Amino acid sequence: MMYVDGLTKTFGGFIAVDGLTFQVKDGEIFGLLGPNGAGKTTTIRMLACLISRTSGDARIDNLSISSKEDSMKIRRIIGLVAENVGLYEELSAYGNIDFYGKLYRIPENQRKENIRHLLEELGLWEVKDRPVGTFSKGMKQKVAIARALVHDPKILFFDEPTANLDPEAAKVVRDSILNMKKEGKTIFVNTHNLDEAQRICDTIGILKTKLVAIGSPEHLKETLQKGKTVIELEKVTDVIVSAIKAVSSANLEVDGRRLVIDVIDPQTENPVLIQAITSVGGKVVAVNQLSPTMEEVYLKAVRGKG
Amino acid sequence: MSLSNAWIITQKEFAIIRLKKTMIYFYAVLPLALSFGLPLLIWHVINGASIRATDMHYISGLLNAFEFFFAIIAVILSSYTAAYSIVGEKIQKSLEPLLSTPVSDQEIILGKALSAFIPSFAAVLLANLIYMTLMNRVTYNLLGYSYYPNLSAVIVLLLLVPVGIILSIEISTISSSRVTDPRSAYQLSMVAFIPFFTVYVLTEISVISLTSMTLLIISGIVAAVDVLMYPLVIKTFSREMILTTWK
Repeated sequence: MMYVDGLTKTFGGFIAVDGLTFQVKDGEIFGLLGPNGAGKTTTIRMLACLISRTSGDARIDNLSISSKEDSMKIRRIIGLVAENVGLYEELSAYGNIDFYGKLYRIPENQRKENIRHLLEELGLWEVKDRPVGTFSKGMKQKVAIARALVHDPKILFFDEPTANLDPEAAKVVRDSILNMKKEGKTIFVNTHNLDEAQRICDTIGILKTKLVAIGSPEHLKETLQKGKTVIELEKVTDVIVSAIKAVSSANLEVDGRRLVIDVIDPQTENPVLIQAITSVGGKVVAVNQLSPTMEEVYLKAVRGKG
Repeated sequence: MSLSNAWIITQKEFAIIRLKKTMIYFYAVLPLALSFGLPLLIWHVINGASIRATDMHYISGLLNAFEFFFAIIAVILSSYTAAYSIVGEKIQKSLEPLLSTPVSDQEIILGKALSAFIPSFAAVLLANLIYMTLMNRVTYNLLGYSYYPNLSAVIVLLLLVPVGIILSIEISTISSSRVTDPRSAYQLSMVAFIPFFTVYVLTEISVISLTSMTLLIISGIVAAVDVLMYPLVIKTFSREMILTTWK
């Protein structure tokens, strides 16, 4: 478990991260969403014991990031894939990972086995001896992932893992993250890719220096942004609009022959709306339900409006 | 502090150095140029002019100054390696993942320092061995004895060269935090070269002579500067500074 309690970081007078409080359960994927400068990287750096916190604390596997002794232990049980892969371009893929394996004090035979397993799983075994400087961005990202996994960490931190990757490479990375979850690892992902967050995260925190929202993607959609009901009519008249306004105070937009109405509970509200339309002679052609997109949810949380 | 962690980092640096031909040439060419060039120069002086008894003093003075060159070469070699090692990590943005491992800042800096120290020191020792052997052959007939090894040479090699290398590594580390390419870091770290060059100029204009005592004093001063600069290096190479204030 990861417990974050009032975690704050200031640089001089500038508040980079302000009083974060949340939990990450074992084996879940937690995504931190936020605009540039929201404090996502600073948060990961504090949790990975790379930089100190100004106030508050976080406990990772019951170890405190504010204890110097614990921070060294935390670094043994975490793996970090930073925004920049940070590989030694002159060294081979194997050499890069082997170097980290040695730093984690993995016995040689075990290290060899781990590296072989990881490189085979990521499809890099055949090119293990090539300098990583010759690799594509996607291949480098895979090496960075293998490097972060070489010591079989319990918790993994990913900072923008698919930024600057082509869609195919991004999918490989996302699949790898999902595989790690299947293996029981706890994963913390910083991203501003909303689609990615929705697809892979169990819980999403939306950060704008402060944590402005937190929950599962579904929970955030339900609480932060209303859904929309789209009713297509043969003809839209003022009488029909008035009839709807009489039964619903929700936002209503008229788009040609379509009415777009914000709804919170479609199952209860839609029959009332249809009833109101038909009661004044309106003829319904089609009814569609639109769920809020993650983008709408995100913008609502970050800007405070939809 | 774990020396084995530092050594793992040193080995990684060696692996990178081995793959960089320019660095290998750099380590070979400069010291070997002195090893062979200086005896050749003395051979030319001895054979190209009539040497009187007083010229022996002139020759031995030259040999002392030449020995000092090796301290200067050591500073140049180690500055280059240290600057490349740290700025190279900055360019490749590899410090952040490295800092996330259970390795302390001091272990990282020690590993990097050793990777600059060992090849520079080894190259200078080897080059000096060749130099001393050749110079003894060239000057034996004139002097009537083997000039090397002597106390001054021992002080230069075992005291001045090591403390000079440490100074250059410290300056390289500090300057590396301010720049984003190895060449700039190397140029900045050449500050370490200035005191050595100044000493050489002072000997040339006969303000000081490079006796064993003078060399001991110079070594002591450089060692004191090394010690004084160490806290600044540790402060500069702290993970907090690297990730939040380094350019």
